[in-house]
Amino acid sequence: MKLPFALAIWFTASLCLAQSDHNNLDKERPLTFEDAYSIAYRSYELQTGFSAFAFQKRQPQYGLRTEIQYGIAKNRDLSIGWDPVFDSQAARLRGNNLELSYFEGLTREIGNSPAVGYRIEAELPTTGSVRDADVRARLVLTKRAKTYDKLHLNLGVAGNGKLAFGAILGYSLPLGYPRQFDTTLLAELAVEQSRQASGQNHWAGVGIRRQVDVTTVLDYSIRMRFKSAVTENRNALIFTVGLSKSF
Amino acid sequence: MIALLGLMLSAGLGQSQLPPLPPDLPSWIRAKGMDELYYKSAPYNWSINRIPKFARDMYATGVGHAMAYEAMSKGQVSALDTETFSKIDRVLRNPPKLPVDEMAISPTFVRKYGYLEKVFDWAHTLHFQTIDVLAYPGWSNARKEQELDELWSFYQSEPYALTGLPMNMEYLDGFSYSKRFRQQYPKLNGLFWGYHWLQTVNYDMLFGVPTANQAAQYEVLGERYHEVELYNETRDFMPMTAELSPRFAKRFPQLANAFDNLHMLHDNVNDILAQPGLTDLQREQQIQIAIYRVLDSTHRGESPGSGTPNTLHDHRHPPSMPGMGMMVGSEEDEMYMGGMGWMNMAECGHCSVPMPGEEPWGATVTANGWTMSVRCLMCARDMASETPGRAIIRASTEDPKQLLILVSDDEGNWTSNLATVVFLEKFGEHPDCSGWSRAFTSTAALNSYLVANPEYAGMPGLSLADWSKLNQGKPDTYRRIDRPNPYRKDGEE
Repeated sequence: MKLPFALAIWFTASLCLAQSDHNNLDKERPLTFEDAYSIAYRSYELQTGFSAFAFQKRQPQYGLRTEIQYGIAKNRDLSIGWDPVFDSQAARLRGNNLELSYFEGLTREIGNSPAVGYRIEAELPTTGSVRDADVRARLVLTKRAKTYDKLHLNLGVAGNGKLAFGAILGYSLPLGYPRQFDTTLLAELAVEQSRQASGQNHWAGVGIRRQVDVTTVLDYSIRMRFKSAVTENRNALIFTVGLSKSF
Repeated sequence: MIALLGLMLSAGLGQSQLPPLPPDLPSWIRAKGMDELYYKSAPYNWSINRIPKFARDMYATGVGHAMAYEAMSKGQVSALDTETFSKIDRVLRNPPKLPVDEMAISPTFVRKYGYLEKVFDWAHTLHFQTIDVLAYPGWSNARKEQELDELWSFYQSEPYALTGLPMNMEYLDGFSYSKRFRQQYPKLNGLFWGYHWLQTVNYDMLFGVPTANQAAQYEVLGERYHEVELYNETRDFMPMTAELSPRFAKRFPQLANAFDNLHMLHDNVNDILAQPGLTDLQREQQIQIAIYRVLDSTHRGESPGSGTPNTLHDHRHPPSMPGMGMMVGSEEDEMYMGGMGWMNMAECGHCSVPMPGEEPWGATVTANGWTMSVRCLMCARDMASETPGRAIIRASTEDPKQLLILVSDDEGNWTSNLATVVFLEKFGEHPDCSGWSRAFTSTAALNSYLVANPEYAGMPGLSLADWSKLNQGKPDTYRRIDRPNPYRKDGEE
């Protein structure tokens, strides 16, 4: 538990000094929701993030997620990601699957209509076992809430045989307007059907995206899984710190 | 009641004169995607940050644009010259350190006019990448010039690209809604034209100038921008690229024209959004028409120097300046220039003698918010001394790769970027001044010139200090063009 708390304290301190953030929201950076917009056509983006999972009834796990995105066309991007996890209780590194993902933004916000996009993901097992393969789809809607803040609804389905559904309501609020222009506060509330056991997982999280230079965004978040179908995962805290770099 | 009737009549009159949508409006205007584009990937990107004050001021112009458009899109026009002005001014005085996503701070504007934002965003990308190329220390001037040509092709590959042809500015500024914004909201319009002054004056600050000598010029230009240009409500017309960066505009006319066409589109949009009595649909249609007028696709196959006067397809330009369309009242090379009056662009701004047709090109003087081309160093120095405040002289030397940059303080004391600079000045007839008033990078270079030009044999090389003390006064060849201000009905200056 020491490492996550040290990270949390460090980032809380840096938040006090923060000046900025960026506006284009990507899944897992640092929360699980995303907005309905692709990355820019012709741009590459490298995203990486460290997560620490602190549990009440078991030893922590550590994840190091890395993803590369490319804007293959206007409003469309492709990405490949990998999310290995180290389980300190089992003293084992799980390679997890390789994620191939396609995102398409169908429409921007026009008038009172939300922006709409969708994502299709295929998870290719690094174990070589077809049973570990997975397919996911996500519908994303983004709509301005009041002034500069936005709501993001992510509706997802996943399954390799048995389907599981989930929904995330995300919220983003630029901080500091009209004096500062580079920090965004994020929050999410999520519910999903568990794929490991019968029941649902519920979690909530808050995070920050902060622009540190013209091409780099730093992010950090804390999430709490307050309901879990798997008993030992209940009340887990997840601390994340990450970086996105476009080039 | 009478006022209300007058307003209704004027609104009705305006609407009846609104141009109709063209039949060949490009389909992308109705596309629903965000269509965000990434800039050209290159090592020079963000070199603008090598001049931090300039970079921050440029980033703030984006905020200024976005905040004004957001207010106008929300119908908050009554507060434009008060609350909106103050809000923007605060940002301009405390500019951001990083570029700002304009769409994030103008959500209402983007929801209504997303297609316009695509045009603005793509042209602003061209603005910034042009600056980045010129501010990049890793390439020679020749490589930079090649890259700017490539950058222009890259820009034109998208349907949102503006035309690089010269456009008739009188035509583009001559619709029923035109000039509304500058007349009703002079303070906010002053900010817009201040941004456009900064966005056009910078190119001669950077073009051909060693990167080590660029920031020093911004001390002069940035001061002028913050103290005068942002709050200048007396301009008759928006700043033109060729007015403020004539060397750049002459070498890259397509870029200069595109920037002017962009700035005129801003003026058109401001006028449309500020025009009372228009429905949302009328505003939308008029903005689409304004975009159409300046798109590259609208003018495909047409060429500079051609076209029917004062029409959409009038691409004539002053003969000596391909980087500028015809202006109000302009004839051939004569145009009315804010702060200077009538000028002939083919002539030296100081002695009125025609500019030399071949290299060296002479010099430019930037002072008091304007930039003028002159034939020689003497004309540059004496013209600067006639003008209050700080000045910048950019002059050719015998070495095409070494530009002389002189920057003066308020007392007229000059500093040079070339430590070994030496001057030749043998006062004679002005038509020959580009021969006897010159700068050299070294005494050896001067001596070589004297050997090749025996008519100046025996002339001593002057140090910067000695040269600065000279002043030959107003040349007797100077010819004032005595015509009234074409932008004002009473013809006042």
